Amino acid sequence: MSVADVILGSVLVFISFFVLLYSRKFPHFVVRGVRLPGPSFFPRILAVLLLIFAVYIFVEQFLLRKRKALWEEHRIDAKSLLNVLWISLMVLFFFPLASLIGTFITVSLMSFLLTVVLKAKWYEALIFSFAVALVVYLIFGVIFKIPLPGGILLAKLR
Amino acid sequence: MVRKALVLVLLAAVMLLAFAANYPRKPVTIICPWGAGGGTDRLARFLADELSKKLGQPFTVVNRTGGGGAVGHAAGAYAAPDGYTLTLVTLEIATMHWMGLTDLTFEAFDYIAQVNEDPAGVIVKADAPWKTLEDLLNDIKANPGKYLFSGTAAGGIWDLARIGMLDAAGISPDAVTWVPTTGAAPALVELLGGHVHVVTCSIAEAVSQIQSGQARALAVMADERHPMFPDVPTLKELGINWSAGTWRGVAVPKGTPSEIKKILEDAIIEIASSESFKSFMQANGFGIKIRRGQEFYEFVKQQDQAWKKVLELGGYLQK
Amino acid sequence: MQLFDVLKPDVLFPLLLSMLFGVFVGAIPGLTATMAVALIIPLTYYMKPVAGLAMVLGASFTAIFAGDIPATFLRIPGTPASGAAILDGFELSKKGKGSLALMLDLFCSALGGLIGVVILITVSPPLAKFALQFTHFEYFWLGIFGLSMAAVLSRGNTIKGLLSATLGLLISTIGIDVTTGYPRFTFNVTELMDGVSFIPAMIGLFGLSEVLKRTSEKSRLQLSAVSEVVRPNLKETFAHIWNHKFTLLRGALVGTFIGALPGAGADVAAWVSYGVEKNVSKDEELGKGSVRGVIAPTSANNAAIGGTWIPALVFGLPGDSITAIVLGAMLMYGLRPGPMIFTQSRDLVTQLFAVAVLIQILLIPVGWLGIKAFSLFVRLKTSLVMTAVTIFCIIGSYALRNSVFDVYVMFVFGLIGYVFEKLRIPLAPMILGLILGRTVEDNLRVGLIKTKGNFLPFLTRPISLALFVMIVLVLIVPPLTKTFSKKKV
Repeated sequence: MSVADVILGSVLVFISFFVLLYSRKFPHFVVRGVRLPGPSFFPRILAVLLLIFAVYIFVEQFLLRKRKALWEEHRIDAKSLLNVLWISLMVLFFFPLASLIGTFITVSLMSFLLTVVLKAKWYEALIFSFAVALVVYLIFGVIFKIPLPGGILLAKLR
Repeated sequence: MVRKALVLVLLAAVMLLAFAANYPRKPVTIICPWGAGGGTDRLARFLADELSKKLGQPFTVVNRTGGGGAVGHAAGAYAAPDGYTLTLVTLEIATMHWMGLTDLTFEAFDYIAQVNEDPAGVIVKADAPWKTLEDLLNDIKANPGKYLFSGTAAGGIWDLARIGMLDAAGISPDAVTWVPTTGAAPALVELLGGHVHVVTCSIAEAVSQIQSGQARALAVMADERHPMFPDVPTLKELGINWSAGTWRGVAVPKGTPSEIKKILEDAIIEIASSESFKSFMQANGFGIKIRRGQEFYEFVKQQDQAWKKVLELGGYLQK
Repeated sequence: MQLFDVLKPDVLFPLLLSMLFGVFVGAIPGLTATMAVALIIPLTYYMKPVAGLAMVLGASFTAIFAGDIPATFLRIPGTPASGAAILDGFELSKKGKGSLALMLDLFCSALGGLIGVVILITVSPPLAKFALQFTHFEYFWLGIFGLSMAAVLSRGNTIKGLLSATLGLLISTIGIDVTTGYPRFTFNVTELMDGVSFIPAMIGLFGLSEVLKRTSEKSRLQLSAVSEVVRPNLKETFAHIWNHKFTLLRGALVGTFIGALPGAGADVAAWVSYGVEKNVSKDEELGKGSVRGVIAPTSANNAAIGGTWIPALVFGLPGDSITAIVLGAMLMYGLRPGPMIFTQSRDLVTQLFAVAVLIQILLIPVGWLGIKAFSLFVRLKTSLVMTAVTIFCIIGSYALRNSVFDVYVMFVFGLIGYVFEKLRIPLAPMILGLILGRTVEDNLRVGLIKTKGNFLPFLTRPISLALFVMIVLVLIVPPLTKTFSKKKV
């Protein structure tokens, strides 16, 4: 039995019930007295499908028990999970930080930290992160004129 | 003590004045709530270029799309009221809050100037049986439920234009069926393919099809005839008291200093009266309609109420 | 002669520039050909119309090809149209045959593009007329056919593949319902009104999840991300192309036709072409690194660009977001797109066709440059490459709509992608569901509005019926014959 698949099945059941209940408040769609498929039509079909998949997974896991536990095959060690956490934090805090200290510095800083976390040599990381920041600035900022955050703190200095 | 305070107040006033008079001192952003390359975007970029030349600081267009215009309008309304974020507001500011798409209303803005208005047209395929709008309306009355209209999404501006027109002509909006599409272009595809019977969309969006003889305009929903198609009658001439169309203008967040608003208003009015603006609008098939700040505000206010009624008729009103 | 005007520097130079630009745009996820064109257009007001249109064509053809480069090397599609390249292209690259995959990609893109352009030149008006026959009923079946690919993409674990597609479809229902104007599952978040933005979702699902996966394999961090040295083996490439010339032709024809439909573009074309190839060739290796799986979608998506110009020139109706911008620009040049353009602006149209053919030739050296440059980048250490990819995922998702919200969308889909891969749920069906969800739902429901709730026209209209029969034949018959032949044995 695979714990992961059982969790997956439960999540599917949850999503499915959520959609079924939430779509109850969607309005009906009536054109001149004829009731046509409305906003809830499609989501509900999909929710029922998900429920069927969930049942299938449960049956497979509890009754047939034919599957090997897949999760165990590639169990992730704590260290690599740490990398995942690092990258997640980086994605989440990129723009909050950039709006403070500017995109250029944020890109340099974050890519430096990440390359170091990923065990690159520090001088490699330094050169590389600076190069990435420059390329980002040139392509997105200069050529595409994307309004990347300039940073409140830097604006004060000017 | 009093004297000291007075001096301070005076100093502050002078500084504020000096600050305002120096506008703009850094690059200005114009938020366009619609996608790059579209009609609104082209207008925004034209205005940005002209404003940069006129006021000596770069004006850059930023597209903030999504939510049927809600995202861009909200971004513009909630920006700092310092005159460095302008918004190219479109008609949707008066309709979307009634549909429950956003809490933002037209009151969130101070209005600088309106520059454009495009009336809706009643457009049919070139080989359609109706020669006049009257033919069409009589046919609809005789065959309720038979004909398909299209132009944009359900509850979109061209749907509302259709509802208003039928109501003003004394026909139930239910007498025709609205085929929702994602915009005027796919609706024109449907029309030319013979899959819908009538498209009510901006005349500007169908200029190519009308001029090349693939489609015909039966009427235009405006107070005056369209300069490009002087043969097409207005609804009012046909005895139907209804005008509808989209419009565009420039607005700033509420609370922007009035000196800055004055500078912007004068600059935009000057641009809108120029020859190059006229030829730009002509090339795009856009109509010119200039309203100064206060007048523009009154207009938006009146539009807000007018569309509320139509949305209610169509059953789209959410609050 | 007017025709050779296109070889003069005032056309050729901007064209080359726009093609180099297209390589960047295509290879960096988050920069789209549409953005590039919107950026180019204002510059072109000061040029000859033909130079401006040449730049648009150059950028869009090159970008669609270049989108396959990161898809092949890193399994990150650069554009939505290169979604199918993450299958066989990436599998080949994993086997150390990345340069073969990309050489095939390059030449088939050019040849597919050429076929599309030739069709554009020769049979535009009748094809455009035929395309106008398609309406909601037909688009519905086209969407269903595309969705049926989900089963193919999830071989080995059909249930999980279908599950992934269903989730993709469910996510596609988020946002304002076009048919009624009612906001579904948006929880009053303005950014969700137009639905989950597709490109950030795609960047997360493939880009970020790939980063998360690779950085958890500690042993490979100090090795090259892609160790293969890219070198062109023309003999092998041409041998493959010759052996699969019908695959190429089918792909290009399917691509051009779908491009010519105003309601579908290069992304749908690539998937449908993949599906057609699967059904025609019965190639069991498809999806595991088959040469056919590279050729079919790539020739289709480039051919589709030629296709999108067909309704644009013939009716003045846009087939996708790029031609929509172009039609606006044409008005600014003082041109009136529509049937009259072929007579009124004959010289311009002729020159435009010449440029389109020229681009296919120029695509080979420019595209090769792109492949070479990208391969230098991916030969860096995995740790460095993954850092850069992370940064580009973040900025790319933001750049699309200047929206921080989209960065979080990208992040959520990155986590979904990571977890799904751990659970062995295939990701490609989910993208398919996201692309085609609205196509299927809206066309079904709007179709029913037209018919007042009657489903029969979906089956009785000639083209609808033909599509339906085709779907039944390819979906139901092969499994049946398989079971019966098994029973015989």
